[in-house]
Amino acid sequence: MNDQEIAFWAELVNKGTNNAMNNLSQMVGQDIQVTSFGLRQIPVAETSQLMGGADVEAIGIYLTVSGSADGHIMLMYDPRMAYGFVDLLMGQPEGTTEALGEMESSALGELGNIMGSSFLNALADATGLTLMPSPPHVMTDMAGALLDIIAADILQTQDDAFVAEATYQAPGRNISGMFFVIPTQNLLQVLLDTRTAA
Amino acid sequence: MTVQSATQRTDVVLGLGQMRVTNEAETTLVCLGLGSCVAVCAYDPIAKVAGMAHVVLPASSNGAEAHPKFADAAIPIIIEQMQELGALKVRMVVKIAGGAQMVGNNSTIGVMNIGDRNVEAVTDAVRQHGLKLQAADTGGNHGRTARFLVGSGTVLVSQAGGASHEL
Repeated sequence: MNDQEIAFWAELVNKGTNNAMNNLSQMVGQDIQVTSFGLRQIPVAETSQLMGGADVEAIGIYLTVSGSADGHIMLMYDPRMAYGFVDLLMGQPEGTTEALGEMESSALGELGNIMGSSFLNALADATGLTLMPSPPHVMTDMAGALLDIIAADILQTQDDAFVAEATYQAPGRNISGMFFVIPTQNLLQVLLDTRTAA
Repeated sequence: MTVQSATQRTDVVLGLGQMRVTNEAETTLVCLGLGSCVAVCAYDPIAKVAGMAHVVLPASSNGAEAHPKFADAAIPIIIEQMQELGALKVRMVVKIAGGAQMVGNNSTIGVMNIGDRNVEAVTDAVRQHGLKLQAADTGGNHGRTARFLVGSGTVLVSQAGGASHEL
């Protein structure tokens, strides 16, 4: 990517992330704050380190992107942080949730739905493309195992992954999470092509 | 009084698509957090030469260079490098772990049933090259970590939050 393309990609991710956080804030009735934001190009072999270690236990909410092109969206949480978000979503006191049952998984799935569709809507609005999220998969496992889903797809066509990451927190409660968007080369190209077409 | 052993174990962690062949007895080869990926652990128990690959995809696509990220390429590369360290093919045994279906079989994106296909491709390649598949802990919908102790050929497999068991 050249500088203009990086700037365009950054602008899109920024719009998407802001829209996702705004809608999440409305959903939980709290001002969710973005604490960090980054665009990275990393070897796919290192994607399993995105959570700080491939064998770290994590809760992942995974959605695929389809439509004009394919991509991946993954929300990842330390399990205790995910339980904190469940409490927030379900209007319960902090510390109520201690494991994921059907109800709790479904709440986290809704969280993934809101963030994934808000992010993609903002990108679609900005580019005129059709980008649709799949239903969310909520999984608890080693971070590397969860990220394998994405790595295997990306590695089919390229050695590097373009990762957009945002961390966020709920100020009233001590909870935070990570939001990753990883486009396929094809999706990135389709997005970048709309810049020259405009 | 007990005398502490002066030797220290060294972990060598293999990222996706990486492989390592070694005869350093104190080394442990490690694949952390395997989902659909497969850890291939090949061993010659007499020469005490070990080879591990972190396989990500079943087969190299047309024209792609042979790389250990592909099951069909990883096996011959491991065999060749182990032979260079004095291992004999007739003695090589293989243990594998991983190949889970993390999102079930209804994913609509590119890599359908990738875990199952990885296991199948590794198993086929092992057989094709005349090696013995000694043990396997594969499939399911949970991640695994595999540790391969070079000195003994022992392979330990663990799941998230679980104790490890010997393969």
